[in-house]
Amino acid sequence: MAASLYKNEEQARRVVSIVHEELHRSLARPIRLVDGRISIAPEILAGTLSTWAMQNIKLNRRARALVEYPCLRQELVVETLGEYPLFTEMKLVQGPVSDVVIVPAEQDPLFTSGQFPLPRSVKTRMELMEQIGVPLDRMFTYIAHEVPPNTIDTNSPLPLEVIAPPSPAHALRQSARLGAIAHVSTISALKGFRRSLTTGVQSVAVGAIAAGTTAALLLDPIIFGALADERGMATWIVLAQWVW
Amino acid sequence: MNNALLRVQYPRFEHPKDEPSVTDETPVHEVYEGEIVIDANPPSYPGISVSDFLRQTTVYEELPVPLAPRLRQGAFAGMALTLAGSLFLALLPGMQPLIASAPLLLLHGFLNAYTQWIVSTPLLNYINGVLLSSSLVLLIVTRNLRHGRLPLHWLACAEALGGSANLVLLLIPLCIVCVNFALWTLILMALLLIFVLVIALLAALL
Repeated sequence: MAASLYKNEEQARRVVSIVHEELHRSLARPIRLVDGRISIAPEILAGTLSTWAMQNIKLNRRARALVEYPCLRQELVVETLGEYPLFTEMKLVQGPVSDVVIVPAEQDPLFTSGQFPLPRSVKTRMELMEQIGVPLDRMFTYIAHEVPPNTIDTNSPLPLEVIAPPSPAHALRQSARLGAIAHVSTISALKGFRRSLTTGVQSVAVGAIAAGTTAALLLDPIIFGALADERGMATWIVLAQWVW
Repeated sequence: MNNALLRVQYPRFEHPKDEPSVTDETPVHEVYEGEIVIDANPPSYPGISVSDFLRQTTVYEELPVPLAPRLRQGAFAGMALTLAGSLFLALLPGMQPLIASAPLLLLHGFLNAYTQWIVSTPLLNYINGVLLSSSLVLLIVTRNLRHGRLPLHWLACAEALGGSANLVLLLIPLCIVCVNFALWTLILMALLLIFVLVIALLAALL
């Protein structure tokens, strides 16, 4: 298993820190006016009773015992961000380089399309976590997508086109190679071998260049697991990150 | 939990079990119209668990990808050639006596032996049958050769190669017929030329 969590350390750190800041900021809005009612977040009440912090510590200890330590024993690196409240709606954070969308998994259009793609290595990694006893069935799933600036409207659902991954580069290259063979064996057999061989080679080159260009524009998805307690507070853990 | 801000007391609230669970959906929900509400009850989060999420994912590397334009063209051409080859194989037994009695000047014996071999080899029919049925499946699954998983791309390539094999199968007798046709045309032209020359000579003499 890979010893590092992130594929692209610098980019991933930036996205994680944006998400981290946003989660932290949500703690600073404990009192809100909702539909003519003053809504005081439960942490204020609990704080007055001086139990909130204790419960957070307990939650953190439990998360480390249930998630972090078993993963470390298998050399699976995860990152525990801390204790932050769960949320049910999409959050958009505008970063210095790009925007970051944090969304509960069930609201992710890739997930609702029924085809949320995970790289094989990531799927294997998460299945291994499940096998070693990490309580994935008790953790809420959140997904962060790094998106180009000003492409998301917070009032409308997250558009699939913005976060849809490109077609797998390996499969595209393979298809282009097979296309060259198929073309040479049929079309060029009818038209003349010499001309088609040249264009066949060109098509492979164009396919490879196109795949490379797409890869350069890829942005990070990050999967968070939130191990929650009855208060709606959760220990947020980065479970997986990859680059398309 | 008691709350001094409320005129009436909150109902007695049973805390859920200590064990966290995303499937825990037993919140106590009370509404006090027009009053200050302190949200003491734990909210309900209808999220999905990571294990449920994991079960509803697909492997990225196995995602369907669009067929390369050249692969598409090649597969279509291969299917057309396989169809033509199959028609040729189907019609050949009826055409064989015609070929045997054809006035071919070159490679007549080879052509007869070749057609005899094709007619007596059922394997070719089986291969073409498999190619045609798989091409039908391929057209349906990939929606007219647009999109498909990588094994289907290999199948499209196999269709193209099968088509090219059929092309070779068709080209051999076609080439022999064409060469003989060209030879006959040359002979006829030569005869015509001789005839014209003889007429011209006779006209000059008379």
